Amino acid sequence: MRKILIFGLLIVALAACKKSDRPDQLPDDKLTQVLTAYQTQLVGANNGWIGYLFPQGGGGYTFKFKFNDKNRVVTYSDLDAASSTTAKESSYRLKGTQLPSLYFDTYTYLHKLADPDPTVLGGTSGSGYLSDFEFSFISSSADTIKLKGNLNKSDLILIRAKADQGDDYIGKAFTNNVYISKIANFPYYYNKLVIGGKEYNITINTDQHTVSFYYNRNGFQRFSTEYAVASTGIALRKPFVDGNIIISEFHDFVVNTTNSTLSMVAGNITGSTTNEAAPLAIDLDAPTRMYVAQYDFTSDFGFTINGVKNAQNVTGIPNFLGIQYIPVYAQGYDALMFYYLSAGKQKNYGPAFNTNLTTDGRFIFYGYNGNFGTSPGTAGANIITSVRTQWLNASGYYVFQTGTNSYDLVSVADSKRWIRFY
Amino acid sequence: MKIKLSIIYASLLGMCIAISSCKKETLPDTPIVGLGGDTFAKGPIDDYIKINFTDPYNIQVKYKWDPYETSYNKNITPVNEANVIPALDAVIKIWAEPYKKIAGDDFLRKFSPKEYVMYGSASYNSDGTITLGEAEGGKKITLFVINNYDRKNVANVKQMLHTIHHEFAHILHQNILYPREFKLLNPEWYTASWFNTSVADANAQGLVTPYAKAAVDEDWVETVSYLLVEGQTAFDTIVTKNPGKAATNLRTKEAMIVEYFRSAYGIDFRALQTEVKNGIVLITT
Repeated sequence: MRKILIFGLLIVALAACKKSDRPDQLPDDKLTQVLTAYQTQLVGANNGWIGYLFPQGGGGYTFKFKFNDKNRVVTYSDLDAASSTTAKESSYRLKGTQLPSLYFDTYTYLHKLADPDPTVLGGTSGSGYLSDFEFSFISSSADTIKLKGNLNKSDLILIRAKADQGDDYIGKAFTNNVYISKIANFPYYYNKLVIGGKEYNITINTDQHTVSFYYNRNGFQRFSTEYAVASTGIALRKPFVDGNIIISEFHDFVVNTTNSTLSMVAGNITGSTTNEAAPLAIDLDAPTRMYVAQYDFTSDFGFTINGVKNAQNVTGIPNFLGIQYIPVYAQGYDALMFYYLSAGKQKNYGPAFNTNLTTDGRFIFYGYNGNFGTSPGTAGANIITSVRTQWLNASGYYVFQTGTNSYDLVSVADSKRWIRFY
Repeated sequence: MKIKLSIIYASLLGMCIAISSCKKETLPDTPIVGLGGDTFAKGPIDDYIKINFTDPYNIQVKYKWDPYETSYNKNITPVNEANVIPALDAVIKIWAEPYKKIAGDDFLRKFSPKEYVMYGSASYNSDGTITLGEAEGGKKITLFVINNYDRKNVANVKQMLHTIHHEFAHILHQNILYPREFKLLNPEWYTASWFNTSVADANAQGLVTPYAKAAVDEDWVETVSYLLVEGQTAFDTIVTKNPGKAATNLRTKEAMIVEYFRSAYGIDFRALQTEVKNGIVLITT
């Protein structure tokens, strides 16, 4: 027994004494190799990369990046018409941080979403849309690279562009989104989608780039996700799954403004919508969620009436900036505040009222008691009065959440009247 | 037997140590990634910086994004490349060249910050204020809001150069302290919540800007920067508008500054003011 023990020890001792070289590769070698490989991959795509960005603050945006081996990158984006067709060159570099990272290290369209100055693109003062411009590589295959923002954890997915996805690709994507946005010109708010033998209310919010499904299946169900625009369709950030229906993208949109119908293809199943006066499903909790969110909800255009955006001409208020629905504004009242500039300073004006949350899932605004703030003059005040009259309609509004902090309010009395907040 | 066994164990252990300590050590020759700073292909902006900052004054200018040069947990954006050279032109004409002319190259080489770092947006603070510039230990000056730089906008140019002269004045007083009497002029107004004071109120209290109320050091450098960038005329206007103790204090501060620059650094402050003024005219027209 003891002999065995001694031999055993001897073997252990000898093994420990064995000369061993260093590991095959040093960490620095590995890191250099990985960074070089990523750089080669980025530069190697002849047609560049299509980038789908989903900032932490919500929404989905499409970019095109072309990297070269001189640390330069050319960018297009679907943020607005100009940046979708005009390229901007800036610089990038790869850096070994905790994970190998891609830095977009001088300003381009991508940075606008992350800009803390709200005069650049809106968003919150100090944080913008909580987006990113330095990303860690999470995974990569030949044609797909997944990255995650180092600061705000936004998602960026790069897909190698195909030969037919040239420099005009983002311009086409932007036009595509504008085309889809025509569905807001249908008279009624509700669009009933029939696909694979099932029915849903669908809302495509082309401002926030979100798509939402509302339906009853053992009670009310809601599914919302961001989408990124492609030249022929939209790609959903998260797939919509309902039994055998799985939708991860829509393409081949056909908007028929005469019949107020929309048809589109998901995978290989065609779906079509009809414009309806009544909802399929009502979200009973949505008014409460919105009311207690402690968020100042903004509307840029006020009510859409009978398919006409900005129907009450709120942008006609001199130096109009926006409308905010602010629950619990002051003195026991909620407010619908209109913001405008007067002599270079931001002013506000809007009705004080109370909000009733009914058990059948409605907002009813009542108890108007004068206005907060400073009147923008007779013409502007008249516009605000007309919006207020609609706002205080006694039958109230159904509420449909379209994203993290975005909600549509649809008049119960007349579903041709609705207002979009984000 | 037990003793014998322990001897065997001990000798085995000794053998093991002996073998492993015989192993020859060779150091790896792989360079450490990122050691000595990031590398990237140089462009026209990099050439401009080398010619105008690095070669003459040994100053490094970082304009590409580096999260670790400032508060890495804040939402700040990098610079727009189009604004880098125009902004640096203003730094040369309104800060470097006036000092060079009055105090000489050696003075600049000795005291100039060794690093300028540029960011596109402002740095937003949790108290609702924004930071336009930072200086660290006389070594580094960080400039924010470069993306809003517009050389035709006099207020904008003055705002940026005010920051630089402010930070450079910090470096100067960190090397040679201003007169101690300065600290006794208006200690009652220094407060952490300086941003709740309007410009008019600060002036009425005998301070050139609200930020001068942040601390006595800030008061000193704000007054220096104000006299240089906003200029003597603007300073005189404040004094005229706020007679009494405020005016007396402001004049005392001005006299202390002129005397400090003469005795500490042998600089004619009045001549420096003129040079800065000329530089501003040159850049903004």
